[in-house]
Amino acid sequence: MTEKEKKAAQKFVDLMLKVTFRICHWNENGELLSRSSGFLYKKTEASPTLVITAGHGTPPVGSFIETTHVYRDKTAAVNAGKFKVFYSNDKIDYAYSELPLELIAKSLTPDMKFEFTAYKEPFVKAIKDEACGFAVRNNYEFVNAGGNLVAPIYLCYELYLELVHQDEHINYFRPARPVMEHEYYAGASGSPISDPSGKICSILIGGTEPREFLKAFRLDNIELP
Amino acid sequence: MNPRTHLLALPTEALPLSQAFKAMAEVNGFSNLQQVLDSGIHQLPSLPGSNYRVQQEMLEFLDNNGLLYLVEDFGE
Repeated sequence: MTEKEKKAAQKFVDLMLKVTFRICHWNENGELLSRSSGFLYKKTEASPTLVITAGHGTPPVGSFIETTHVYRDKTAAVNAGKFKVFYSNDKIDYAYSELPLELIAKSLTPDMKFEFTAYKEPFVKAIKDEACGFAVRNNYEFVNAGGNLVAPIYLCYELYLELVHQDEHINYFRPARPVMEHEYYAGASGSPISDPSGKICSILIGGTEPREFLKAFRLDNIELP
Repeated sequence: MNPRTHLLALPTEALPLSQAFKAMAEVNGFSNLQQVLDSGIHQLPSLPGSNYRVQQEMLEFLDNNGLLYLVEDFGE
């Protein structure tokens, strides 16, 4: 890869990291049920700001967006709203919620500083011979570090995804490198996948079995509020 | 005055709140919601026995009863 290509790849990753975040699903006692990824979407200026995600069971309540702000040794999180499943297939829920902006504003401490960028463009149909990709700051599981539970973060990404097959709801992409172990993508379900110009076409679901392709749910042919 | 402000003075045990919320109130010595409000709802997730869901429940309870205006807004 040339320096110019490296810079372009980094620019793409940075762009995706601006719109992609992780969502934690907690039960009433604050225990982690599952984790996924997602992004904010605003169809028009008058539309509500939606959180879009996908995962193995998305509970209607108890979902929070992880921020980059650390408050009293914990990653601060904000209310992701109440999820409505708009499509379900093969044990995966595709869901959206309206971001409860007023409740979030009331939950913040004065020093909390973070920024989320909402995607405001139309979703596009993935096409062959275009390099798509995604990127999310991900982690495996919480680990005990000096008495504190911390989740080591790594960059989970795929660049130069090539569309090899498309059906009514799913895009099948071939990565430019061998598909990683399942654990690498765990928690990345729901990450938006975009074309080279940053236009989102689908959201990541996971890999095929045997590991050859990555599957992504199409957003270009569904209706959202 | 909002007629539902009386809810803030009722014992948390008497309110339709989750067991997790009531347990948090007991652990932290809150006998009603006014005391939770006074302690600062923003720091609620970091209190013993508390978490972000407890804070969410409190905010939604206030919102559903027209009392959200009582919480200071630090968001932009």
